[in-house]
Amino acid sequence: MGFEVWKPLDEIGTDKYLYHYTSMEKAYSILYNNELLFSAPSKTNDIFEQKVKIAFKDYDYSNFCDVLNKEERIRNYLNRVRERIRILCFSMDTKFKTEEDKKQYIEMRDSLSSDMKTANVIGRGFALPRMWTQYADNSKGVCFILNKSEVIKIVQKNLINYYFDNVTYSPLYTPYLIAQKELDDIDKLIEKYKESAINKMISDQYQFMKYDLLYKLSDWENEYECRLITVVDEGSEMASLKKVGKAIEGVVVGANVDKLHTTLLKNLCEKIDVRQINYNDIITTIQTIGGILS
Amino acid sequence: MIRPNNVNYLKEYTTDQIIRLIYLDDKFFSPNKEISDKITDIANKLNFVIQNLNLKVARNIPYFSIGILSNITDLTRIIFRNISNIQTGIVMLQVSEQLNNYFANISHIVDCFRVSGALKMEKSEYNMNAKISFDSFFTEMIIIDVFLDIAFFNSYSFLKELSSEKKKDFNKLKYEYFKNNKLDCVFVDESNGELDYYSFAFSCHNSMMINSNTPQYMIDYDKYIKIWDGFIRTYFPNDVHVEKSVEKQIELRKNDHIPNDYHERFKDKKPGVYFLIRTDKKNIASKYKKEVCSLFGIDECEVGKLQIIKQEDFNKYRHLFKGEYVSSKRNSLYYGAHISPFKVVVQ
Repeated sequence: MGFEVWKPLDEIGTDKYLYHYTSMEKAYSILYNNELLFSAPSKTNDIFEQKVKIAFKDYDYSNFCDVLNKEERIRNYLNRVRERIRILCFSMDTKFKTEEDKKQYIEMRDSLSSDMKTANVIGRGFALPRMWTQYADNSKGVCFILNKSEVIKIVQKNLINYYFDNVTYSPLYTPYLIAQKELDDIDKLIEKYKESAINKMISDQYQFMKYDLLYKLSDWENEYECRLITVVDEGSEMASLKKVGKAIEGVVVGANVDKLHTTLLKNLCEKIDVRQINYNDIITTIQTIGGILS
Repeated sequence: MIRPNNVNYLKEYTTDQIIRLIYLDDKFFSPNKEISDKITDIANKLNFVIQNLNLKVARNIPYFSIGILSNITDLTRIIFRNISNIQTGIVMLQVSEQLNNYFANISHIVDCFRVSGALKMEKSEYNMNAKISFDSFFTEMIIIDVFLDIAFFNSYSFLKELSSEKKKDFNKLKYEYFKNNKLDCVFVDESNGELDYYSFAFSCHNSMMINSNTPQYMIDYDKYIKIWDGFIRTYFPNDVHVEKSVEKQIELRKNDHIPNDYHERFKDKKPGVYFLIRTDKKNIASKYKKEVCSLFGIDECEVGKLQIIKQEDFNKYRHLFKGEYVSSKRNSLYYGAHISPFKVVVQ
């Protein structure tokens, strides 16, 4: 808590924070209702998310009618229950995939003046330009900084069937190939649990579900996404993560947000620190809202 | 609600005050009420800290006035800036040039760089004594800490009398003491052991204040005094503080309310700290009348009665000092009996 939430990338612990980008209107709603709303995969902006990403391997087709029937049952089932899946997306702080990446970051950082080095927050989860553009109304929205441990506690307390993990990025799109045994297991699961089978697939973290919902093309890699997945009852529209206020450690206002909204937001967030992101020449900084001594 | 323990009253009655300035670049600073109110608020808190220290030490620690200017003067001790102005480097070079050419006798000057997420001290790239980078949470703390050390420095007669050159070296000694004694510090020291400045107040805050979402200034007074004592013993072991004569001290009391020969009443007093108290108002709240009359040995309350109390009795009579009228929706409350206190040190 406190000032540490604003530290540069190389000074914070990894995996400590999650970031949720949203529009100003939704931000007010989140603060007022003290909850984060999930959304349906069909409403994401990644076209591949709207479809079930599985395929079936070559099987022993000596009993191919049976196999084909199972494939059809499973595909129909998964297509149907997809409407009951809900996802809540977060970003994370940049992770260096290789030592070379880290070295480049450090070289970049060290090439800056002392002031710029101290102030530069590039790479932090609240300083992802693409996220500001796509999910925060072109920098007129907001990014919530949440404490990951607190979010996990809230999830464990409030949700029964869920799956919480980082998205994996892959340069090429390939569907998940379900092997014979897996095919039989899934079919039996659906037979046994019927509409509740999807709940079990999510909470037991079935590998194919993980692939279906947590793999994306590398094109999206700069989102550094982490997802919370849950299932709602049939016919139910909403899923939310309630009492999320406890986990919010800071609010970042977009660079294009006007003074009226920054002031309103600051007044609404009595106990939460609200600051504004800014782009000074070559660095990204976080600025306090208000006068130079406030 | 104003409570007696939160009131600055000793400062009200003394002219023993020093002024120091904060430099703010023109681009941020145009005189406005917000900055003025904020500085007044910080100065009040600083003076409240000084008051509490004055209640503990047998020296007179001067009170403080803080000003803000967009020019450097002999009284400037803090350069205050943030990242808003990308031209900061150019401004700082200009400031540095001024300091080197025209203000070479300033004892120390601290580059206070306000930047989100920071809490560190390092060498200044602009030839100032130190660069302190701090998050906005600690704006108040940094200003109070820098100026508090100046006030405490000025409470020692032998330090005030140091030459300009020795005053410049003085802060290096403080940093050296900090390093050698491995004192706690709220800041991460990134100076590689080469800093020309330190405030002992940096070593007297607790983690509760630092980690809070809304830090309120808190300092460990006893630790602060102890560090200074240790430092003086180490670097000035043969120097003895000489307090002004009682007569000279009383001359610093505001408003000429004290008779010229009143200092004679301290002649036979043992060395120690006393408070010269005076009734400032006749019509005081009835709940205090009996106590005031008893304290001053009078039958009726009147203006101008004087009394001397010992330091150990200060807290006993604290509720009588000053007088505040507080009105709330439900009731009106009087605090204090309009008694003004003034510290006198007898050596």
